[in-house]
This record gives sequence, C-alpha cells and structure tokens, in this order.
Amino acid sequence: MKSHITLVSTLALSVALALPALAADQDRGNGNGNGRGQGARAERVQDGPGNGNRGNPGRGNDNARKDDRGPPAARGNGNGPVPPQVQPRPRDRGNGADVRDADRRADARARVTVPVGRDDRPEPVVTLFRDGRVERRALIDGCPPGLAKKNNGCLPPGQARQMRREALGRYDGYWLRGDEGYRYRYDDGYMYRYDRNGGLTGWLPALGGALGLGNVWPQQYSYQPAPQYYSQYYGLNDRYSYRYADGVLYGVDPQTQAIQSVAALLTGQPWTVGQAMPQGYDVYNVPYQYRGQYADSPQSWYRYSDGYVYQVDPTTRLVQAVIQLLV
Amino acid sequence: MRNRLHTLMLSAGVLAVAGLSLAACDPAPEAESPGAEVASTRSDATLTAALGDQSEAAGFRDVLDNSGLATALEGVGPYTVFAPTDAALGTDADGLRDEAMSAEAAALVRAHIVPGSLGRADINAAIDASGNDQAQMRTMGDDMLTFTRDGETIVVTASDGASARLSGTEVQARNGVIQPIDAVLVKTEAAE
Repeated sequence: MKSHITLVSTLALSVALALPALAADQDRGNGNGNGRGQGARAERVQDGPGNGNRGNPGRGNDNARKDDRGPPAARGNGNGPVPPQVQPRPRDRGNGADVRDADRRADARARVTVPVGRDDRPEPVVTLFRDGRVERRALIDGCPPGLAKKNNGCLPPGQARQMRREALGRYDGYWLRGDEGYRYRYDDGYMYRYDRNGGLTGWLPALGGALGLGNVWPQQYSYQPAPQYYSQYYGLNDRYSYRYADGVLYGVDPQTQAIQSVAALLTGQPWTVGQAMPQGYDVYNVPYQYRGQYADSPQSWYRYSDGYVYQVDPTTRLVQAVIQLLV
Repeated sequence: MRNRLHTLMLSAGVLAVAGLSLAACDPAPEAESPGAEVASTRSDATLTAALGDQSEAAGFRDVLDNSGLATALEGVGPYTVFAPTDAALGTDADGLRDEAMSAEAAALVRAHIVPGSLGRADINAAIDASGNDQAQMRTMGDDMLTFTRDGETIVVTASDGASARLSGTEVQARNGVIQPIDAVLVKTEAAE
C-alpha cells in the first residue's frame, strides 16, 4: 500500500489558516412547508468555507434554486460563489454510495491537506457544521409561522399553561439531548422545543418526519449543497441533487424536490487545524482499511469524522492535520 | 476476496462477552489459539445487510427500515451501530415499525450510531488510556455516549442516563461495526 503523505509539523500548522467554516445564518418568516401547512423559514448560508481567502467554497452538486440557497449577502465568502455542479460518476451506482470504492481508495494514496495560504493552497477542506448557536442543534430559533412572539415564548399564556399540563408523548424523549431546561415534542413532521414555562422557543423539520422519504423538501428550509469532496467520498451519484442539513445528506429529486434517499449521516463537528479536537472522539475509530497508515502513537492520534481522518497531538489535543481519504 | 465471514480472535482478557449472541452466522473459526475467545466476526455485507443477518436484532432492523436510514448504512460510512436486541427493544419495536412513526424511528437509530469503526478493543483501550476510566463518543444524533466498564463488560450510557451493556459478538461489516447491546440508549417517557 503506497502512501504519499505530507505530514506537516505542528509549528507549521500553528500559522496555517483555520479550516473553512461554514457560516450560517437564519431568518424567519412565514413560509409554507409541507405536511403541516407551515414550513420552516430559515435561510442559512449555503456556500462553503467561510474563511474568506480561499476559493472553491462549498461546491455542491445540488442544482438548487437560487432562492433556496439563502440571501446573496449571507452567502459569500469573499471569493465569489462557485456554481453548484454535478460531479459526474463513471456509472450510476444506484441510491447513494458504493462501499467497495472505499476499499479501493484505501489501497490508493491518502492525502494530508493542510491550509497553507493563497499561494500554495491545497484542495479545500470542507466541513459541514451543525448550527451550534442554538443549544448545539440546528433548531430554527423563534416562533413558527402564525405564532407571534409573546412574553412567554410563542404561545399565548393559555396555550402555554395547557402545554405544561400535557403529558409528554412516549417518544418525545428521543429528541432530548442533555440540554436540561427544555422539553422537546414531536408532532406531525416537526420537532418543537419548549422552555420550562411551556413557551415554544425553537422548532425543526424532523428527519423521517417532514424530512422523510417521499416528502417534498420543506419550502424555505435551508440546506447546503453537498460539497464536492462529500460527493466524491460518499460516492453520490448524479441521479439526485444532494443537500446537507442538520447532520444528514439527503438525495432530492431535482424536479419534484422530493426526498428520495438519506445518503449519509454526518456528525457536523467542527475540526480546525491548530484548535482543540471536538469532544467525543476519545475512541480510536479510523476505518479498518486505513489503520495501517494511521495508527495511534505517542506522537499522534488519528480520528475519523465525516470522510476525513484527523491527526491530533495526544498531549495538547490540538488538531495537527486533516487527511482526505480520497485519491 | 475476503471470506464472507471469518473470525477474529482477541485475547480473553480483553473481552469476556456475556449475554445474547447476535453473530450473523456461526462464526466457524478459521483458527483458534489456546486461551483465545471469539470476540468478533467479519462480514463482507454492509451494515444494513449484516443487521438483517442478526437473528436477535430483527426489531432494530425493522426500525431501521422504517426510519429511512437503511440506505445510509449501505453507503461508504463507516459507522458503528449499537444495535439493541429484540429483547431490549421490547414492545417499542412494534410501535416503531409503524410508518407513522418513522421520525421516532429515525431519532432512535441516529442515537445509536457513532462515526467510524469502533471495535471493543478500541473502546477498552480508550477507557484504559483515559485516566478516569471512561471514554466518550458523539452520536449522529448529536448526543454523547460515555463508555465505562463493569468488570470486563463495556457499559455505554447516553446523556439522558439510558444505559446498556455491550453483549453478544461484534460484527465488522464492510462499512462499519455492529455492536449488539442489551438495552436502548434513549429513554421513553413511560420508562421514567
């Protein structure tokens, strides 16, 4: 197994540019989604790295309508957007990806990609983040359409009192994620977050609900076109356009906007060279076919996340390098 | 080409696996050394297909199908799936098979998946190296799982306190790992 790996020293990395981050923005309004007759309105920045000085941001293969991709003012990264493009595949591999490609890629060389600057910039690393601004979840903050902001969240006091009295559904705890002080409820395709007083403080179309197979993408619910690297890594075919939202890569019929597949699950965790690795990667998890190349040692740890292997300093826990698993 | 299934041998000191056996097929060890214990089977199948081969994970496989996430677990991954046994899912498996419950099914499945390939040896090594006898991994549902040990058994606990023990035999599938567990890693309200 040949490998051409450029390992970059921590010192060099300390002056390297941070990994591109996908800035996000949301606004709210009164869109009409599917299912409930009310849709999430959240315009999030679609295009990739928010670094501002490197190109090729967030190139997707999603021929998204322009009005689906967020306001232009919120989209740019300084270098101008690259039009969404379909990454041609040698053959149609059906719905999603072909894991055999991963085996083949493991035998090919892997590449360490480290942002080094404009003059010698490598292929950009694109990390898809969940929106971490709102309790770590990509909730749409605020009131759903039709419910104006009240003193107590979005609900009139009477409804809030009723909400407090109602028992939680058996499965409402499935959406609870350690953020005490909030209660979550699922209803008819959407997840809702309430505060202790029953005030509705956030909501989101749910995977398997409004974002379930066969459903039309909720109008104006924001997404990011799948970046080219993800298209390649996950072997996304050109049958669908692919959209990322809240940790999921969806395959969407470009004509009908109906969700046809869930192509991949992602963590959406931020990994940035020179910064601490995200919490929750204590266990060595490199794919088996790459373990010969990327084995933990006293000098370096390696962790897998969302199509990349990250090299980490075991002592400082700082991310040293990003390794693409594609040839 | 790899054999469809062959057995990995790990030291008995690393794993003393109790509980239900979820091996896809008879492990049919190719070689066995004295003192070694069968701890893992390997499969060329995808996670989705390998879950279908698990005789005691039929309920979770049905929930996976209903969730719409089966195609994701057929893809490149890799992922590690903590698969509750049928006994662990209990009657919830019936409810979560219902098409009207696909969102709940998807939430449950996401809460049981972490990125990458986690063998039990990897988890044990992380616990040993931690200094506080625990290791954490983030799920695809954006929750944190904490691994500890009870004797020689690995225990995994979600942020809401739901806890399970790794049971049976891990399966190294083509695109990830299946770790059978004896309980569900999300709580239902009725269980409170």
